[in-house]
Amino acid sequence: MPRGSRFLLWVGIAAVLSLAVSAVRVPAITDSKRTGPNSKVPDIGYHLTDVTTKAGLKFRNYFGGETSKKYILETTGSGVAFFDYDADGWPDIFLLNGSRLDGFLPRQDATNHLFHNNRDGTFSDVTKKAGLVLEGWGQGVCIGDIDNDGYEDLFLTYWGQNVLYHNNGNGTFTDVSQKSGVAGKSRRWGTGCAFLDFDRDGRLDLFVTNYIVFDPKTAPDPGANPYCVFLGISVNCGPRGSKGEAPILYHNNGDGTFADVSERSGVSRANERYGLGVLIGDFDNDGWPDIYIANDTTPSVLFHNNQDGTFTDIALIAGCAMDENGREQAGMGVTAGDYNCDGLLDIFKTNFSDEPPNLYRNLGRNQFTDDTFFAGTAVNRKWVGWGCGFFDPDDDGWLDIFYGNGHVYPELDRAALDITFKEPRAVLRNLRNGKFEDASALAGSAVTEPSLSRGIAFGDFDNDGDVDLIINNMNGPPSLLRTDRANGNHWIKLRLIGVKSNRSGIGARVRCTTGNHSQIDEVRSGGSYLSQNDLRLHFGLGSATRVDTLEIDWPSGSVDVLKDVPSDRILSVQEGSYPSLRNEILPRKRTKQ
Amino acid sequence: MRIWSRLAAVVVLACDLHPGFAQGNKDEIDAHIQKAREAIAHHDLKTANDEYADALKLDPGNAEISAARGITLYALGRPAESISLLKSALAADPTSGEAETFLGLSLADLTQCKEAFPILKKKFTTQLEPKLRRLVGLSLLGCSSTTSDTDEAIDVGRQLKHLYPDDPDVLYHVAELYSALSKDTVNHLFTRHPDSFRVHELAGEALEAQNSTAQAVIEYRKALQLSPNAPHLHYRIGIILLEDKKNNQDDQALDEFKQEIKVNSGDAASEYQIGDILRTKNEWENASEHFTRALELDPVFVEAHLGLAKIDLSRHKGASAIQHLQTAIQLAPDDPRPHYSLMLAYRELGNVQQAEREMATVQDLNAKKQSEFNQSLHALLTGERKQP
Repeated sequence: MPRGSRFLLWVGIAAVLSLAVSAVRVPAITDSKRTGPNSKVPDIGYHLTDVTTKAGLKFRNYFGGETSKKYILETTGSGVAFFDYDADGWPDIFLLNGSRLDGFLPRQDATNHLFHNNRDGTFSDVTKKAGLVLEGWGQGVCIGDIDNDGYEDLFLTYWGQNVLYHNNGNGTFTDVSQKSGVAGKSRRWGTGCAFLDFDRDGRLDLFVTNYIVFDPKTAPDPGANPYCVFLGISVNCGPRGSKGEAPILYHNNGDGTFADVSERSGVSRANERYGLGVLIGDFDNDGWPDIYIANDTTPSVLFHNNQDGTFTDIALIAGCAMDENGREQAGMGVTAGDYNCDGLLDIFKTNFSDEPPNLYRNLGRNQFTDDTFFAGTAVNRKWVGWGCGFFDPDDDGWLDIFYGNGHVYPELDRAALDITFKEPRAVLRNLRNGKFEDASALAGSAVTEPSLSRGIAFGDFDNDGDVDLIINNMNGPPSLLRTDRANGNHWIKLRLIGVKSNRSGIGARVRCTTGNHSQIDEVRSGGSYLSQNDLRLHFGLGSATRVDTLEIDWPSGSVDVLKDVPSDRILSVQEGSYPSLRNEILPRKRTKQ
Repeated sequence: MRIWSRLAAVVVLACDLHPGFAQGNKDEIDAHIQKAREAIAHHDLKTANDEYADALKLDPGNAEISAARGITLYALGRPAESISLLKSALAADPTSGEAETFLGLSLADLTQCKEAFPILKKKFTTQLEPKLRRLVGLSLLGCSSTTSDTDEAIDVGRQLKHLYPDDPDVLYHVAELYSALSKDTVNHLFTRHPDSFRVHELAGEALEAQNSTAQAVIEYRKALQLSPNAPHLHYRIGIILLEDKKNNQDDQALDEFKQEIKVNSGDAASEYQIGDILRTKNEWENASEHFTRALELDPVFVEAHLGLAKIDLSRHKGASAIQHLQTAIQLAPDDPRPHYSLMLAYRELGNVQQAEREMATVQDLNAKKQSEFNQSLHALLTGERKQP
């Protein structure tokens, strides 16, 4: 009796048959009905152009092995930020870097980088001058003005201790991690982060997600158990089988220090999850920021803000923790936007392969429905999704979706499978009826070219009125994708400056109304995949040349209303500059449900 | 198979002999026999063999000592040497059952199946000690697999599986038998009917099992060229297209399922797939018709009940959804999917308590599934059945 395994036997049978059947001369069938995925998509009104080299972004991300990866540590990649560190109104770029298990070769520059926006489409590397040289397993980035001094501060997560840089306001930063009390354990795997004012006291607090407890000394090797095998190939293990780590909530004490209130607030109860992307938003329109976490391999969390310093995870019953069949997924990146313009923030979350990204439509009353298949956002089941964002590149006033992909197993390229390590990005065009269509091919080769996208940030680096993207590609140079609009649509952008509220305006909700079309958005720290978008809010206006009303609900509870605002400009609005009578007659609670 | 730990008990039993010794050397022979037994008790087969050899020198014609040494040599992995001893033992005492059994085993180990087969077959049907019978059965299975008598091999395999249902060696060798039979049958099909669509169908299945789905579709289409009305082929292609989300081929998959129904009108699975594709396209009326048809064909089709419930949920008809979901839960109580949809239905109706109860059930079922997997993983990694 042959002693080979059954698998080998099948391989043998297939080999015999493939030889055998090739001898059977049957004409091949051509499928005349086949059409490309985008055959019905009209011109989308814009093009995404990769201008990385032209912009002078000389950066290379290093993140574990390039042709094989021994540990999960090498797979998650780094975030990126559009970050106007000098408050000159031009978004600068901060790129996190990773590390290698076996160290670096001479001249390999593995530090994080800050690039100053030269206001002419190019950037200058100011990392050393800014005092931001730092190596390590850099993960996530978020910004916020923690001391309300007018300059955004910078928080970074690491496998290792996290880092808080205070922005000195003169182009330099000071590491205040230890002094402020947010550095954390020496060997914790921090991932997503976001500043938020959860108690609405006018000072930015900080939320940090953690991934798994990881130690290379004890981590299993590839192929060591069924969690370390993918499609029959031995690969790095996890996260399933690993111990998860709870997220952390730090309260800003107002004196340069933070207090860990994870236990008291209840967020530490999410301790058996593998946290990655974090998203802050007022999902139930009660005026208080809630927290959504995309967890790898475990149900997502939606911490509802109880308005008393505590949070309750309502994701399961809210219907935004799992897929439409109640199966947990491997969440990575997450973003919020009101794609159907009903006044409620919806959620888009990227996942591992075989789990198409979720589109959770907000029904109000803390209820969501998984509209992934209905909306047509499940364009590819095999990709592993990461950074993502709702954005309006064509300024038509309806949010489209962009997300990046890239697998975690380089070993796939050595197997004859339909899945590859590098994967295309995707653009989904909003059809204005609750559905989307794949417009990737029409957006340009910068989208369809396979890559290893990880962190993605959205922002208008050239201040031309559209939304551009910066992507931190794992083990490669970044991709700065400039949006080049070919239509005459109009837009407006807002930079919010809090006075009673936190100065960054984080958490402020803006409603932009033109005619009978209303859009909402919020100033948000963190989001996407471990990344930071431009803090300015952008609204596409279509053919409208004026905005009827811009209503700004500040975290403090005050409301500013701007009326009949001309389009195509970037407005800076300071809290209280356009006080509204609503301030006197309406409570803070937002009205639309 | 000659691993001492597995054979020890068998050899101890088999060597538990009471030979009649040559009178003049009785004490000396007795001493060697005693030492051999002690050595076996200490798993020291080499010493046992030496002691039996010394005993045989003193009494060369003793059938029982010959048999004991032959068995010991077999256990030592030296079947070629054991055969002559066992044969001589049998020549001297044709009634020596142990000698015959181990002769059969030794011959089988040396792939002398023609000689071994009748011995093993006879012994397997007798009342042997269970461990020895298992050994004989496995050897018999090995020998039967080399003959052209597949019925005999299948029969032995079936008996072994019946006698030792949880024995990993038995399960492994029976699986190997079935794999070999499958391979032989495939080869036979190809040799005798190279122009049959079944060749391509089988090739498609083999390729699909290896995740080469594009190649599998090519083979299925070749099969359809040869036999346009063959059932299940359009369904298989449809499933591959449906799962290949990379190319967003739902419409093509839909066509395949529709064609399957044309040639195989009683196929509930294709009716269900059509319904589910239409559901995701928001064509709820059409989708309902196909789910309903699937249930007419197969009333216990859980996914079809679930599909109807999801449509009801999309239409905000929570009460109607609950009926379908309760049926689905009756059919598959351990499936978390209907419970999750039931949670959504209760939530839709504002019944928070019931919704929370269903959500708890989903979590329990998911946790149970995860726990079972963890137990399996633990067993695989440690060889222990239960986690501490």
